[in-house]
Amino acid sequence: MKKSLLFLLIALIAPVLSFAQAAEGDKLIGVWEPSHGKARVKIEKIGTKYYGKIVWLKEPNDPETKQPKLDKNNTDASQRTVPLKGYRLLKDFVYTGKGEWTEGTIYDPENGNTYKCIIKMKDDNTLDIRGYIGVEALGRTDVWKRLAVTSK
Amino acid sequence: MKILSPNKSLFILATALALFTASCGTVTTKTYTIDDVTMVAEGPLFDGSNTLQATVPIDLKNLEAWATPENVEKVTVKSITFTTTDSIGFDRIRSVIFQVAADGAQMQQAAVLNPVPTGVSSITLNPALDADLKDLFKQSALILVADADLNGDMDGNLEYKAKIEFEVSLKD
Repeated sequence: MKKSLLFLLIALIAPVLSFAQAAEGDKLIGVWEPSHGKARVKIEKIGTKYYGKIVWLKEPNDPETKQPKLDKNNTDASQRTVPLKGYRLLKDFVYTGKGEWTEGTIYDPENGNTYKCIIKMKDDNTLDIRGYIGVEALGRTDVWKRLAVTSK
Repeated sequence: MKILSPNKSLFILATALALFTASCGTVTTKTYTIDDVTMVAEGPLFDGSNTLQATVPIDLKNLEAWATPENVEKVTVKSITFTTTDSIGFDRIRSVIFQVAADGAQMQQAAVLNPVPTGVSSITLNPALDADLKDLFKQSALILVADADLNGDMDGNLEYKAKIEFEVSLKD
């Protein structure tokens, strides 16, 4: 009897906890600005994971061509006509709790490299974005600020 | 050093070759088509990049009765075509980036079209030649994601029909 009650309690609580975890993870959704201030990135949820694309560039045009900047450093030559504005540079982040999103990657359009990445939320409007190669210790952290502050 | 007789050497060589061939298996390449998928971005939409999405199940049995996720060796994009019956066609779109995602695999950029021609009711994107969507095809469903760069604000939805052909290599 006691066991049945325990299972019932777990069955009732589990969806609530899962919903709370998803809601906490969704705090990442919004528009963010890296420390260099040259771009703005909109983070959204697709399926169960989080992705970020460039929605604004301080200098949208290539100084050489005077045309919108393209992903000219992509290692796949067939994709070098992809415009940087709209480019998904954050991919596949999974919320693992405690204000941390892992398992994702970040793309650097300046050199065409993709790095492993971890996102940590310092407060509701500040992110630590750490890109690294291999192990987390070998990386660089950038601080991103939220643009449109959500109401509390 | 002991030298093997020609017969023995031949036997060892034949056995090694047979083992190697058996371990390789046969690779079959088939076309997996996802047709008539409606991709939608719900309005209001704003100038810039807007996301159209659709989720489609994957059934490898459509390729071969014996096919399972373990048999998937390589998957590339063969062609992607978007069509619309809307009178404005694709005139509101500057460019389209097409990606494929799934909950259990990494998103892959699959194709691009930049710029999008005006006055047409159908567009064909340029597939990413280096993309391998193998891990995505081991999932039960794909999330199709198209980022369309709008040249102005829009009140209604943006809706296109997509036809995608993948080249799937299966190893038995």
